[in-house]
Amino acid sequence: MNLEAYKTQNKSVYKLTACTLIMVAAILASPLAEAKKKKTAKSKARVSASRCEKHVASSSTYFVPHIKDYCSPALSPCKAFKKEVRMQGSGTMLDNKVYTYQGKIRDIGECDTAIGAAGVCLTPFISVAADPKYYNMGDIIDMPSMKGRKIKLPSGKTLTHPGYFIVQDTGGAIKGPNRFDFFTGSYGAGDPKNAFGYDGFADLAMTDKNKCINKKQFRVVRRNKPSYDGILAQIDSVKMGLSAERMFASIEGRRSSSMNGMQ
Amino acid sequence: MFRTAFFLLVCAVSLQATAAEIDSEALPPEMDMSEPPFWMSSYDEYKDFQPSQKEYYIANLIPALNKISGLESVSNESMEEASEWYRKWDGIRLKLYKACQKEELSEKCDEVAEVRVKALNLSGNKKEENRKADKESE
Repeated sequence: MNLEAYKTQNKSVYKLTACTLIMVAAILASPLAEAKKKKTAKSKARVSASRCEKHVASSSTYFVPHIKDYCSPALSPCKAFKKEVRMQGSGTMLDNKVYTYQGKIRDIGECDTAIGAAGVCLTPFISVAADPKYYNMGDIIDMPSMKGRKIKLPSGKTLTHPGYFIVQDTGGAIKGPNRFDFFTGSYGAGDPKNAFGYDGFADLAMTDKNKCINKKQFRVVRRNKPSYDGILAQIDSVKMGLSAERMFASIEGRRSSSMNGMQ
Repeated sequence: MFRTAFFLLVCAVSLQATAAEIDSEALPPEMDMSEPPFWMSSYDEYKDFQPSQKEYYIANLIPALNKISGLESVSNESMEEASEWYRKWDGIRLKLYKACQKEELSEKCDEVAEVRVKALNLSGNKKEENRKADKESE
């Protein structure tokens, strides 16, 4: 064999070895690639739950039906109430109890409507459910377009919205950093009184998670940030105003009923 | 003269050791525990939990923490103490967050984080759509 032929043969051996090595590497890497692909698809699926841009809320609403709106007398759960509870997960009964979709009755202590995942009372039009992977319970969602809007509450009072929401709940379908489910008390989405419902603010469309509009832009204020306590105080003052109104209303109510009794 | 120099040297060494200790307890600048990923509930978040959530969280958190190096000794007693004293809670949380900076622990840290998510979801909203999503994710 001459030198040239020897070189060519060696070259082929090298090429063959290189090819084999590449193939082995590809075979070894394929499960990893597959796993990575799966992981990417999974994270894509999570992100695709919300179509809006990062700082635009993908919103929906949820409510807890109240027995008084479904049953008369509202002493025990009637068929219509039970049906709604099966859809919404739970319903408020009289004497601070909730009736769950499993047919259980739970105490909600001092709360008017329900207790959220954070373990605190939910406040209509202030509490919001978010993905716990992205939010700590208590984080604040600042949505400037909400500030100053007048909202009729199920209690009959009017709330001047502070422009802030508090993350106090979660939900299995609420996934992603900008996906929020806004709590509307006992108002369902179809209730004409619901400011966040189908007949609510025409420019906000809170019920449509795919409506990505600039008015739903938000920023997050985390629980340990310097501005947090000040914002929380603002929210509390709005809530205090409402409870003061309620307190005066109940005093008024008692006064008028006692006056009626005197007559 | 020699004694003074030796004394000063000892002082310098001990100061350096203290500084290193403080440094090891401090958070690296890029790590903010109020931003995701949330490996463990903050003390405030935990405090507001319902009794059933607290029970579930502590019971499932301890075995998940024990899989992480440096947190093997976390026990029922230490968690009970931590649940009454925020500094102890924050100490455990800080150790976890630091450990979770290591790429090789990401799977174990995800397990710890999952316990928090499940504890929260115990009392989360259960409307039909959410229940369906819960079922699909199981």
